[in-house]
Amino acid sequence: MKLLFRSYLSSLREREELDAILPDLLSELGFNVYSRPQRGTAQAGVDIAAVGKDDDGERKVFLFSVKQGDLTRSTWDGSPQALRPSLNEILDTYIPTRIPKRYQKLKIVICLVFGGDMQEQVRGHVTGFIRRNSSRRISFDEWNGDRLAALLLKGVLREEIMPKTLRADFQKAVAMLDQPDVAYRHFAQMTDELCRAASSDSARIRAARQMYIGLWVLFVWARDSDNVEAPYRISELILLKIWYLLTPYIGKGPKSTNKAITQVLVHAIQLHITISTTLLDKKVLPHVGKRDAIATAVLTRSHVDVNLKLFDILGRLALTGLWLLWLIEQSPEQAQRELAIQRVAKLSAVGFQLINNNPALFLPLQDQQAIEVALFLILVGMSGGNHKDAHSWLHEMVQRLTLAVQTHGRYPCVFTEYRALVVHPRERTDIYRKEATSGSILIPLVAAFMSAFGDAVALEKLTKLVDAELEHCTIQLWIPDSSSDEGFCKGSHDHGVALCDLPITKTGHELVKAVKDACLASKDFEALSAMRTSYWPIILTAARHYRLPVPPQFWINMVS
Amino acid sequence: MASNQPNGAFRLWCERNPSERSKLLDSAEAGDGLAREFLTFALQAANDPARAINFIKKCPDDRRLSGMTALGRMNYDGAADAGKALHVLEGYVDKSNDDHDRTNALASSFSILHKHYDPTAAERLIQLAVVEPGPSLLYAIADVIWQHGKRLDAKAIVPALTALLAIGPQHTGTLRAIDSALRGLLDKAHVGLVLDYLTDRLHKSDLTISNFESTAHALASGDRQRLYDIVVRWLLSGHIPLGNNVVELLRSSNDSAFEPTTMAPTLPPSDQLFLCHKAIGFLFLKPITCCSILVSMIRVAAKNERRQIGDLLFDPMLINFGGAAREYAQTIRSRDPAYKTVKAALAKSQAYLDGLKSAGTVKELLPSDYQSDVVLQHLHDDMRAAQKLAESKSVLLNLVRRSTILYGRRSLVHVTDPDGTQKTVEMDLKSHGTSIEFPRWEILDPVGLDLLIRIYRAEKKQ
Repeated sequence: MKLLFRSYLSSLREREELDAILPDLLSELGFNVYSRPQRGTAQAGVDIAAVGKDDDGERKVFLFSVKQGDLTRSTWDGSPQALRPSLNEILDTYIPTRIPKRYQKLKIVICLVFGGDMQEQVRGHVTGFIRRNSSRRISFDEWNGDRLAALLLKGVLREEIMPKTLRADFQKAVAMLDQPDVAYRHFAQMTDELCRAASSDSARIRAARQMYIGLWVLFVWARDSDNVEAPYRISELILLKIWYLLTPYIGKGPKSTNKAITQVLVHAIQLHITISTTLLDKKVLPHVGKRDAIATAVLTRSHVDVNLKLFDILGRLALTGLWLLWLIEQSPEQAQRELAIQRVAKLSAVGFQLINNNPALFLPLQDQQAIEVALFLILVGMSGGNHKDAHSWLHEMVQRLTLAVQTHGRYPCVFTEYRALVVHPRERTDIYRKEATSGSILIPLVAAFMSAFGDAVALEKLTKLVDAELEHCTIQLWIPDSSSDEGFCKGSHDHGVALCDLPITKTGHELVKAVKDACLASKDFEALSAMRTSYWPIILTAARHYRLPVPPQFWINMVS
Repeated sequence: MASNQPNGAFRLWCERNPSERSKLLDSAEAGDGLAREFLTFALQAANDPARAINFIKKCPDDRRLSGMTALGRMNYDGAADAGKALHVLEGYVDKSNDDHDRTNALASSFSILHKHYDPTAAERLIQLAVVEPGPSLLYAIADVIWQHGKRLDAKAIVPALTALLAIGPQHTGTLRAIDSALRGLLDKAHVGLVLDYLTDRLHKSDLTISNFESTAHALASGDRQRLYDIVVRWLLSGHIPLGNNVVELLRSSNDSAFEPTTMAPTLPPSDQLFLCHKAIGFLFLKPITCCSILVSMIRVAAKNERRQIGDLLFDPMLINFGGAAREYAQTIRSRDPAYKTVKAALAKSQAYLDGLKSAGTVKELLPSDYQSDVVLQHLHDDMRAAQKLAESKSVLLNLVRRSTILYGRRSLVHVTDPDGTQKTVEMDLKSHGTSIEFPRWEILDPVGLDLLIRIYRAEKKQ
């Protein structure tokens, strides 16, 4: 296990990646972290500052200067970002001026943190530096990868709080990274167990940190093996699990617990975005401009795989954009907001490139892929994306849907089992089609947007289709109810209200009105903890992850 | 006919015993049942047209038919005698008679014409026969075209084929006769008439070219220019059943290109594009044939249409078929008028293929092992079902004993001859197989492909 963490620590690529787990690690070890890493602000050489007990039992101030990877001649003293200049800053500036008054009488330990090892050729220089600058008040300590790995095992992942069986699940998840389904299953088992066992405030904080650090470890390993599929799926799960741990403290209970778990949640959100963009920015988006390139990269003999993967990617792209939009709302800095806005606009634009160059995205194979369609439409709507492109996309979708249904082709079906999808349509008969299209959340979604776009032609086609071939189909949408807060957290499907038999008409006005009235009448959506605390993307993440329809409250104002 | 052979001896006996034959004829004339059964052969042996004509004129029953048949089988001294017999029969081909009389009269007339051919009489008889024919007469007309088509001219054939347009799928015997007739006419200077007939008849979707099996085979495997002409003609009709018949016509033949020397018709620009759309719509799964039709149009098209057809050659043809179709396009020589356009399409195709490879292996996009297993199992089941179906339809496999060799690359079989001697038959084993290139969009965008094909198939002429 230690080897696993050791390898993880040495594989961290950015200094920020080590920063991201260190505060949680220290907190879990009993340190009081009073200064966390920040970007763009002068920190006088200190990345993290904390107060805690040293090995000798004495309470001291610990000042951490963090470098990634091995400590080499160049990372020791070759540039302004090297360790030695940082240590000089700590000695010259931080200690004399920045230590909070309440800690000024405490002794100081300057910790040299790096994920790897100290190379031998630099050890002499470091030892010399430490000897020259050590005093009764100031001492130095080396926190290399080995020490950090030991601390991880001693702290947040120690055996008393993470039993062997859970560790085994975690190790299996890491080992099975190239089998994302298996890795996910093991990791999910671990998170379920951690959440179930977390009964006290501190245990809940710890569980959140354990899941977050576990995800980091998994992600770094996955990144090294060039396959971040499992960590992506797990990152969605982790967000929902941490939210589950947080909900009891929203508006009640100890504020410190709320704050601590919220802090982990925000880090987990950032990690989720990091994982998502690792895949999108490096492997998908550079190729969306090339026709059929992404669809071909699925490397399959079945159109089913292409369809499922493409809609999955579209959903990830949309969700990433929506989380970035949420971050924009939270960010106080104008420059960062501008950058994020540009990034979201780009995601919306490349989404359409992805669609136009991979035409399987013009018609889902499963009705539940309406979730991905809705997410992307919401992204386009919220980011001021190109409505003409959205209109063209849905117009083509209606044309294909009509043809596929009428000709018993590969129309969207209600089946979720992969085996059923591979043989769909199993029969080209009315009886089979009736079974395969027993209900739809896709049709009302598309119809509502077509109504907003004023596309009478498409609406007429849909109306005819629903009146003839799909007369039996229950046209429906879904809105959360008072039990949905828990349902979203647990991944249950046993909550919410289905709006059934929605009217599909030539103008779509009746549909939009019916949905709007239902949204206005229901107060449960606004009462959801994620909505009350403005963490609205949590609901969208839950919808995507647990395959629940996106509540129309997210898009009804875009179409009415 | 073989069915007449047992009566050959009786006919010979009648020839050798004139007095007995005469008694039999008298008995038949008097209405004796047994004598009536042998009337045809007795009349034939008598070789007495007047007596036969007498039966025809006086007896409005089976004896008339016997008289007609006998008249057709008699030997005539000259054209004048034959003409007299024909004149009598001609009267019974007229529409005022019943279908059986007309049928026998026509068949016997052409038996006489077989030996004493008179084109005017032949034309006249057919003109009479095609007026309100019954099913039996239609069969006789088809049979006449089949048996005598080589001697008939267009004036006789055209009304006959026009009458035969009325034949439906339930008349399988007549259809077989028409098929044989058409197959025979293809060898003559009547190709145009055959194509006209098929075009008109297949316009209705109750019959397909597979109902004319031997003709279809001759068309598909014969003169390539003739095949090109009929394919183009049917595609240009814009009629979906005819388009489907193009598919049917080429179904069993290999996917091959029409030669560069094939003469393309002169068409208005809109028809050139229309033809290309139809070719893609109906011959998409015969990519080489389809591409060669597109290339044939590029050769004769004006600049603007040439560019548009070149675009079609790239998208959807070369995009979907990176194998044989692309290899075909690469065979277009630099002196070919289509060369530049095809080269441009090939360049686009190369850029497209490069683009496909650009993403490389994205592990996150790969299907899981479970999904791959399910797909493989499904493909395996499909292939096995197809193989079983093919085996059940194979004529060869139903005739021979089948051995399954599990190991080795040679087989030795010990065979015992009828005389008891044993010998060893040695056989080297060779592998054989077949391959089919699926269109790329069948996996990447099957719904879009289906939509495209349907749009092109249903497109109407401007």
